[in-house]
Amino acid sequence: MSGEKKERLFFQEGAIAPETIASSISHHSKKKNIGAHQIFLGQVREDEKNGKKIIAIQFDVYDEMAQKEMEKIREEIIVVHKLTCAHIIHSKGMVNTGEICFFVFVSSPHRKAATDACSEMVERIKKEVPIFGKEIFEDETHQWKKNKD
Amino acid sequence: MKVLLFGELTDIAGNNSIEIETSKDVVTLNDNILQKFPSLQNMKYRTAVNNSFINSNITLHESDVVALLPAFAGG
Repeated sequence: MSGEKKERLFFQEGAIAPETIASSISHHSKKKNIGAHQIFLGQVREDEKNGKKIIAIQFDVYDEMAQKEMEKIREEIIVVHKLTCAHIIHSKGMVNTGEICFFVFVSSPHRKAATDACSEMVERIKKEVPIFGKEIFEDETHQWKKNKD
Repeated sequence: MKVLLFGELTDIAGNNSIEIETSKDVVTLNDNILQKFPSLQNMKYRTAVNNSFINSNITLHESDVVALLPAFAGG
């Protein structure tokens, strides 16, 4: 191997626009060996806690470690499931309820590998990548998001 | 040395990093942290050194990057 490996960007500031997802899909039309795509989209839910509605989540990321963990998860899952490609975007900063904060997109020749890989990738990212979410309530108070198993 | 804080730990300390005297190893560092910020005693977190979780009491150097990480909540 020569030259520097291009660093993938896994995080973007704010919500993920539906246009980003659409354009990501259209980029794959050139890869003719793909037979199946699987996409997961995480959306910020308007939960209600103690009678107060959540209006947004502010995502805080430990950048260096998160970058390393994302690379590792992506590469391991590509190898295990023999994927053609895999793309991950997670939001940083403020994302309002109803907006997309997490995008996982995997592609393979056949559907089972894509389905299994996507699910595994989502679960591993939630467990293994240092991302924290501050749930902002309508009265500007907050609490820290806890993921369920 | 600088210790990075994340998630709800930032609320406890009122900052996203704290300055702790350089400690010879992770156990000593943790003792020093709790002495300065006793309220962290009740918090659940894991310690990462140079972007990896540590499973044993490793020796620390001034240049090491230490982070205290509560449960992750991505997605």
